[in-house]
Amino acid sequence: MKKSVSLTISNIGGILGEKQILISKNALNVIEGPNASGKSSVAKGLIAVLGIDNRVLHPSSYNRIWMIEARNLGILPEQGGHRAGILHADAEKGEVTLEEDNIKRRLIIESSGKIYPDSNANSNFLLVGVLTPNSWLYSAISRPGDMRNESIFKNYITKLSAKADKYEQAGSILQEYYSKLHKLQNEIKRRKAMIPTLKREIESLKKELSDLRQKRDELMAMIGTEKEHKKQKIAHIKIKLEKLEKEKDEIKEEIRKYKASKRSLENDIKNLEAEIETLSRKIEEIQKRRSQIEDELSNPPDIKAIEAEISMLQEKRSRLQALADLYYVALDNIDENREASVCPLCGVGELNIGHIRKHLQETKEEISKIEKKLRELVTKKTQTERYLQNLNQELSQLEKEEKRTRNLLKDRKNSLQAIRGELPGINTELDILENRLKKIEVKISEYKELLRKENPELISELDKLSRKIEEKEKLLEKKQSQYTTMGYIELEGISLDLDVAQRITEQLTREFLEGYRYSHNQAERVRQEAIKQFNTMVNDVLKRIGFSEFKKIYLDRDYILNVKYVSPDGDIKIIQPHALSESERVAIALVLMLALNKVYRENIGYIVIDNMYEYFDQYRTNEVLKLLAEYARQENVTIVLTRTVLTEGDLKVSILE
Amino acid sequence: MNERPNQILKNLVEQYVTGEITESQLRDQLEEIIKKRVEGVSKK
Repeated sequence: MKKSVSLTISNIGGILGEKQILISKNALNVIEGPNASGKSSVAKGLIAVLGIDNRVLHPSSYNRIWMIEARNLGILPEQGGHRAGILHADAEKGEVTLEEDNIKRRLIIESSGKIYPDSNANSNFLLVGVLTPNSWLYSAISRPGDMRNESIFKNYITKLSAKADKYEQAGSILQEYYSKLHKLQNEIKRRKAMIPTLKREIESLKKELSDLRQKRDELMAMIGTEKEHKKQKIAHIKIKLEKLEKEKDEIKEEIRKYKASKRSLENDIKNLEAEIETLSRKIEEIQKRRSQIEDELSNPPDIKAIEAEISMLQEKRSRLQALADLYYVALDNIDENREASVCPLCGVGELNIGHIRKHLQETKEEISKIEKKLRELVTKKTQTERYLQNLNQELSQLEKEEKRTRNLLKDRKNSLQAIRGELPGINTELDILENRLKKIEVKISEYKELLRKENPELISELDKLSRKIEEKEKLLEKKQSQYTTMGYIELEGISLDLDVAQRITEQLTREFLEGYRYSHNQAERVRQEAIKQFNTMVNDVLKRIGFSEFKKIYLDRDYILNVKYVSPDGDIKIIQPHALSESERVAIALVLMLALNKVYRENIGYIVIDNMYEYFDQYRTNEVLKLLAEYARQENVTIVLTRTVLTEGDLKVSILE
Repeated sequence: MNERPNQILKNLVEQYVTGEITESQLRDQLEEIIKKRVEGVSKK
């Protein structure tokens, strides 16, 4: 007796109100009914409850294929509202419920567009378990050019192959870092290129200043040569003034030196503060992670329970193996001509070879289930042990790391304190020097005033020169300060010499690029392996359903689906699948779906085929149905087909063996 | 253990693919690689 699942749809598609149908598990079910009896609505309801999940409703920008496919299939409304989705046009709310064993899946859809999916739904089902004239698979085979040329199979194989997908994701993360490092490298190059220019500017400013100062001295020499009695007075003022100007230049030079060392100390302080903050944050992170690990270790997963289950299952397996051996002995020795008797084991069947074989088959199936479970448990145990071991290792590394970081932090704090201690002294010195400078400047202007009275034109010229000298001095100071900081760049909160920074970013850029290439190549390798597996399966199955032996279907290295046609004379021609007959295209789509389903199906267990029946002749229909029934049985998949019949009446579900 | 830098990146990619580490852990590790390298040269 096959197990049944109950599918209840309410206000879905063309069905207003509630409709319930029973579907047999792991069997080929055919839903039959006349036109407009609601077959496709039932199929769409099933597709929706199994396939609409949060990845369909809220896809990341990285991956929108499920949403696009849900729209193609008409189970989500189209963007722009051309097609309505699966809710009945007159209903406010629709519902689909699928009940099997203890699992109840439920999807609610409202006319406002709000959809509440079931937590067990899996959007991969839309790609590996659905075949309709609108599904991507049929379109990819039937439309010339557009979809095929976009390497749609590459896209799907990548998305469906979680491993290739993960490699691609890792690759794009590495590429992101590579781009950042590359930008940094360019910034370093730009700064390095600016240094010589700045150096040239400083040299030229120094030269200009020295010329201006010389000119000022010459002017001073010319002042006051007219009258003898003035001459002495002016000479006296001039000597005083020259002395003061010289003193002023000296003090300025001293101030510049103090300011430069103050800047350098402030730079050190800033770097140390940043480093201290980073180190403190690191200690906090280490402590947080340590406490997480300690929490986890204080309540570790129960390995003993897993071991107990393993040993219980091993014991059960030995018992069953002994039983199977017994059946083999019975099969070898049973006398077919003996009188009929009831089987002593089950107490219901007649004891004969067929009956014992049935028992043997059941026992073997039971053993294989136990072995599968055992494999899972051993894997789980190994993973759990490895996980705990990793946690312990990480904990001890974290302890070491914390100690090291604390020592480093202490050392940096000491350095910071020492450097901060130097600053007040420098500030005091600077104050004293600046006061002295002010006093001298006052005196200079007094003497200049005296001179102005004696020799007005020259003095005004002298004033102009002095202003120019001051401007140039300021500019020089600015450029010199730029020159000091230009040779460094901040990386990870640490100020590095440009050459060192360039070397390190070049190395890192190279390594991250190589890491990116590695991820990308691995993804490609996984995909190519999947293609190989995929092609073998496709052609094996096509052969079984009587597909022309002269036409071989394959995905090539570029993920393009091709048909290799070998004529009876041995000529080889590559044709595109859209050039094949409709019946052949449907057959290929069906086989591709089974191949994808087998390779990528995880926790789904259903296939829905809507409206595919009428494309085949009687012979191929029978072969396809045989194939599907066998696939359902062998792979434990529940297949639902829809079929239009001419007789009037309600929907009917039948199982095809 | 003295692993070559490229081997470290490859191992991280593999750990991410097998699910041993999450995306944010992978990013943390990559940041750490850059940081350690910078700290390494700044102390020289």
